[in-house]
Amino acid sequence: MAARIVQEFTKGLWKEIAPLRFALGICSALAVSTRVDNALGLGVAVVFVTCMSNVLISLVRDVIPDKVRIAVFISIIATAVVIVELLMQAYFYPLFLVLGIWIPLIVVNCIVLGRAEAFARKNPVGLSLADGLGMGLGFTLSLLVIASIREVLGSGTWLGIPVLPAGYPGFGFLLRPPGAFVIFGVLLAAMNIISRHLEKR
Amino acid sequence: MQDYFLLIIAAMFVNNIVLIQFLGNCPLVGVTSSMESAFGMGAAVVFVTTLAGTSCWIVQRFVLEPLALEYLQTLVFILIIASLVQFVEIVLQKVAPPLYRTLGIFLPLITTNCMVFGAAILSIKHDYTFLQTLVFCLAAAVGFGLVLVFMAGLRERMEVSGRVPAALQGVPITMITAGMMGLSFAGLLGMAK
Amino acid sequence: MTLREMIRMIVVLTCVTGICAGSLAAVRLATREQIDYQQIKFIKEPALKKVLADYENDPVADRIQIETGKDARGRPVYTTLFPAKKGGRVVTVVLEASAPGYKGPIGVMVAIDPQNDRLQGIAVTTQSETPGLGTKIIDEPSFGAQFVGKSLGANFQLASAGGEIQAISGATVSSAGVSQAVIRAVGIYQGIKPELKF
Repeated sequence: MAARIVQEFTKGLWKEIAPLRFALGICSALAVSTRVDNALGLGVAVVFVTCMSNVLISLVRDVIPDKVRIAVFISIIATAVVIVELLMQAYFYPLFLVLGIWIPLIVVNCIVLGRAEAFARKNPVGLSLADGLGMGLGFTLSLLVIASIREVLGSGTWLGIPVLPAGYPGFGFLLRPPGAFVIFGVLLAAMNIISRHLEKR
Repeated sequence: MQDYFLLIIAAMFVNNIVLIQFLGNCPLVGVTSSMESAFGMGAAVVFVTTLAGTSCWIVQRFVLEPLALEYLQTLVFILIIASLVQFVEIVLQKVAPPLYRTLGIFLPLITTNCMVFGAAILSIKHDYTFLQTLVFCLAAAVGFGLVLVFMAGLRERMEVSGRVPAALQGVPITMITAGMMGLSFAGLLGMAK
Repeated sequence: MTLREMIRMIVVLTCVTGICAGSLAAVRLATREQIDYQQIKFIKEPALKKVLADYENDPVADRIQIETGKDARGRPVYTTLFPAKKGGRVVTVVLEASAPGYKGPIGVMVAIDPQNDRLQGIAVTTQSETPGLGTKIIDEPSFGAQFVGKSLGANFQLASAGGEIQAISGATVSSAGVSQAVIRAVGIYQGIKPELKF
């Protein structure tokens, strides 16, 4: 059982890391990845939502009629999201202002509903929590990678700390929306090459 | 009148909902492998976004705000969208079976399309009037459809040419193409903010 | 679909949405005060810092709301006071008022010394005046400095209207907006002063 939990947890971090493998949840991953601190903020919010929705959905999985399950899932997810929204507003107000509509938009992040439909409604609570945690952290990890590349190359800082020489002019293209798409495409290609390399060995 | 023209240009191109606002990127990858599905998805989204955006606006203004229940916005909007999608599906099936056969398979996907929900929230956030909301949602959704159709055309060509390097095939090249497309859309920036 | 199934669906959906809305209402209730605090702190604190020099408490947390009148529809209008304390005594009370400027309202934070009934300073919070002209009400420190140290009984009208405040040349309307806002703030303060126990 313990091994199974570990397995369900770790799959979300590399083998099935949602944004990078399946291009799921990339909307918010691209939108808030101009700075590492914002990416971290959204990542934590998403981890909270995936865990909470997976656990709750797994708990009620036997009493929900099949025909209305999507509506029930969505209600549960939306509740989790609004709780995050209120907590963030109460304790991290500046972050709440920066993330703006991307907090409510977690509701329609494909990863959250995807895990509910594909995993939590068929599995016990413990496994669902492990799955939610892994998938959420995988999302955060992808976000951090993209944000790190964009912040370091785009403005020469990481988490606000200057990391490149003071004279670095900043590659502004990466901070703009088109730059996000290009850097994400390049990142995916790099991952393809690495995966193929690992498989050959 | 000019205001509405600018609103349309801004929503459709300059602040394109897919390429600049990053909403609805999942279908950008998912349904653009063929022109037919891109067109179907685009049409379905235009229909649902306009309907959902205006419905959400009405509920926000006449139910949530008077009752000071703004914090339920997320929950209520997503439920409106989900039930609306179901409703449209049933109506289409009864009234226009040929249209249903084209759009039908895309409708369930739309519930979790962030573009529908995003357009509804943005209309509230920008404090649009009812008419502005209608125009904004319609224009934004048409902008979404355009990008989808453009992307499908480009991807079909790339498929035929067979010159895309192995590592870039599929999602990576789609993303890079989207970036290039976004650059050209941003070129209209001078026209509207 | 049998009737039984149908009823079960409706019951489940109603229960789920009901529980969801209920728990949200509970969270909302629990976080409400903190959210209000954060919003006020984030929006008002920069201006508060400008008019307050030396204090030991959190003026936003210690804020006081007092009903200061009714609007056209008969609903009460509240004014928020931010007391700054030092050594357990209130040394300054800050309140905000606004008056029309050249373009839209000008909001002004006014700091009052409640012991001596004197102005300690003013800071413009919101304005949409013409850049380079009307915005001199912020950019020229000498304008705001005129209010400092004046007794609450002073005439805060512009000199052209018989008062003690010199308008900025080229920005008369904006200057008048600031002076009117200060007059309003002082008026509100004088009106509620008997209720305050500092």
